[in-house]
Amino acid sequence: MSLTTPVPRDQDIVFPGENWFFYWKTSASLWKTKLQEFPGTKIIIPLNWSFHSETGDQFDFDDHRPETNLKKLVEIATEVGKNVVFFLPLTPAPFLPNGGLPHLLARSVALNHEQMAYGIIDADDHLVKIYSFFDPRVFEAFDRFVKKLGQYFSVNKISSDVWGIRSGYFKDGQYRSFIEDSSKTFEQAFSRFLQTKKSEDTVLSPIEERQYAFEFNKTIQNLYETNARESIRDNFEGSLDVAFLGAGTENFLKRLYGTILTADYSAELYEALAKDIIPSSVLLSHRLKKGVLTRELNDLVANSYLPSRLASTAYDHEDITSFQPLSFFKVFERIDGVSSLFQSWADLNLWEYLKASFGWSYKVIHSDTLKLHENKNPYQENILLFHGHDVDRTIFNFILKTFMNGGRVILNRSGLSDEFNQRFETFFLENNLNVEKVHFQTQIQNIALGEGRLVLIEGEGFKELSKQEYFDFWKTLVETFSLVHVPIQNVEGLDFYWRTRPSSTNELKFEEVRRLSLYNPTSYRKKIKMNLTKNFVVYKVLDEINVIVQTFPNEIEIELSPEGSVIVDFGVFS
Amino acid sequence: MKEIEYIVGVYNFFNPFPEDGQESYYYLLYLLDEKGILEREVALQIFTERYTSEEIVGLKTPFNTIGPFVSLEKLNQYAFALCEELNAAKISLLSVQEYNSLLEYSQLASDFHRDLLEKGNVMENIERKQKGFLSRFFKG
Repeated sequence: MSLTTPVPRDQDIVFPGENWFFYWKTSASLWKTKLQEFPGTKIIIPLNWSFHSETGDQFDFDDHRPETNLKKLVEIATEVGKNVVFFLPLTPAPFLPNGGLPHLLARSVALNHEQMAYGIIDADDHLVKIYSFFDPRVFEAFDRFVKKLGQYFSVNKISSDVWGIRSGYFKDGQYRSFIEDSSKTFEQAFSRFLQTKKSEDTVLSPIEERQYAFEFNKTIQNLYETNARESIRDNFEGSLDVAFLGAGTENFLKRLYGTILTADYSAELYEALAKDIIPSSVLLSHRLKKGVLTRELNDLVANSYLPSRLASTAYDHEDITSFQPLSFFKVFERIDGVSSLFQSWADLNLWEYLKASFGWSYKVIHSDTLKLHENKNPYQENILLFHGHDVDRTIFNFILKTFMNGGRVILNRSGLSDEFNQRFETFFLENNLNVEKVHFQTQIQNIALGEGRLVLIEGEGFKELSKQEYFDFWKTLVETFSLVHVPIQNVEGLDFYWRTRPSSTNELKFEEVRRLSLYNPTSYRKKIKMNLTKNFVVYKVLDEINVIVQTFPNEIEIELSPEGSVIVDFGVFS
Repeated sequence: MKEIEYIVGVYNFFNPFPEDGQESYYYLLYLLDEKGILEREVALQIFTERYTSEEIVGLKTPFNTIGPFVSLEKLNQYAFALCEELNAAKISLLSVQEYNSLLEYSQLASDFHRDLLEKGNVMENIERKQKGFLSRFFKG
C-alpha cells in the first residue's frame, strides 16, 4: 500500500480519455513516443485556441514553439498508423483554462441560467472559469483564429477531418451548452438584438422574450459555427454536441467537497447516449475513473459510439459488425426555450416508466437530430413519441411518413393546433382508416395501416394520477406493441446498456444479436436474473471481470462482485 | 450517526415564472454539507411545515430549489432552523453574486471551497456546542 498521493502518469495527462490527445501538455519531441504507445488507431486532437494565440491577434503555428506545429503532429500520427480527427471548440471549452479563450479576451465571466458563474474542476484539479462568448471582441478574435487556422491547414495540405464541438453539461437531466450566458455582456448583446426585432414601444410578453432569447443564443452559436465552416471549408465535417461528465454545477460542488460517486458520472454518461450527445470524461483524472467507469467509457463510448458518430462514410456508419445502441423508443422533445412550459413527458411520468422497464434503451430526439432517425431500422422495432404542441409541418410529415412505412407512433394531442388536428382527421377520412376509440385513464385512439400504428392520447384528459397509475398506463399501452425484450430482475444500483446488430452470415439462426453490458459500480455484491423467452438465447459471454455467470434452460443468473462487469451477447429470432 | 459540521447554502432573488404573473422571491438553489449535496427531502419538509405562509400559497417553485421566501430575513430564519434541526455547528449563506465573486477571484479549487464556508453570512448554532454527548440521544 502506498501512503503517498498518487502522481498521474504523463501518458494519462496527454491522453485524458476516449482517445483524446492534449498535444500542448507534452513536448513535441515526445509526440512520437506517446502516440506509438497509444493502442487505438483514431486520435482525437482538440484544438487549443489560447495555446496558438495569447492575445487573440497574433498566432503561433510553429513560429515560436514546436508544440504548436500541427502539421508535424499529423505527420507523426500518420507515420505511427494513427488517424487524426481535430475537434474545434465552437463554444467555451471546459477542459481549457478560461474556457479556451486567449487570456486577454477573458474579461466577462459567463453566468449559467441560474445566474451562477460556471465553475469546473479539470483532471489536474485546476479551477476553470468560463467567459462570455457574447462579447463582440471574442467573436472577432475567433473569426481571425479560424481564418488563420484554415489558411494554415490549406498551405500545409493537412487533410484531417475537423469537427466543430459544442461543449455542454447536464442539469437535472437536461443538456445545456456552455455558450448559454446570463451575464451583463449577454444582456447588452441581447438588447441590441431585440432592437432589431421590435419597435421601441413594443412590450414583449415573458414568453416572447424567452423565444427571442433562445433565437439569439442559437443565432450566435450558428455564427461561430458558420465562420468555422467557411474558414476550414475543406476539412470541416460538421458539428457535434459533447457533454463533459462532472461539469454541471451540482457535480462541480460535489467534486469540490470530494463527495462525488461513480454513479454520478455514469448517470450522465447514459443520459448523453440517450440524447445522442458524445460523452467525454476528459475532466476526470484517471484516479477517479479507475474501475468500472473506465470499462464503461471504453466499451460504450471510445470503442463504439464515438467512432460511429465520427464515421466519415456511410459504409463506416453501417458497419454490420458494430453494435448500435438499442432503442425501443424515440421520444421527441422540442428545444426552443418555450416548449418546456407546456405538458412534458416528465409530467406524464414517461421517463420513470422507460427507465424502470427498459433501462436506457430509448433515445431523446429533437429537431436537429430528427434526421438521424428518419429511416426505419429493418431489424430494430421502435416506437416514436411526439407532443401535439411540437407538431409543425416537418413533424406532421415525419409522423405520416413513419406511419405509412409501417412505423409506430404515439402522439399526445396536448397542444395540437386546430390546423394539424384537422389535417390528421382529413388524412384518416381520405385513406378510409378505421379509428378505434377506447378510454383508459384518458381518451385513446388507435389507427392501424398494415404494420403501421398511430396511437393518439389526450394528454390533457388525465385526471390527477399517482405515479403508479401513470406507470400502469404506459405499461398497458406499450404492451399492445409486443416489443421483444427481456427485463432484468434486481438490477437496481447496477449500470447496464443494451446494444444491437444484425446477424452476420455465420449467425443465420438468429435475426439479431443483442449485447448487454453490465457493470457493478457499488461496493456490494449484486445478483441479477433474466428469464429468457423462447426466441432469446445466450450466445456469448465476454470480458468477465469479478463475475460469475450461470446459464440454465430459459434463465441466466449473473453475480457481480464490487467493480465487476461482463458482456453477454444474446441471439434473437422470431 | 455522524454529525454535520457545517451547511453551505447558495440562494438567488429572481422571478422564475414571469409568464404566470409571479413576482421575484428568494430561492435556495443549492444546499451542501461536508458530505455533499444535502438531502432535499429534509430541507423541504422543514420549509413546508414551518415556512409556508399565506403570502406564498399557490406560488410555483423551480425544480430542485427551496422557496419562495418573501424576504432575506425569512430565508435566514429558515437557514438557522435547518441548522438546528440537523444539529449542524454552523450555516453559511451566500447569494449567487457573492458566490460568483468568490469563484472569479479564486485560483485553486481548495481556496474556493474554504471561501464558501467562511465568507458567506455565517450563523453559528451555539446550542449545539453547549449540548453534551448524551443529549443527542435523550431529547427532552
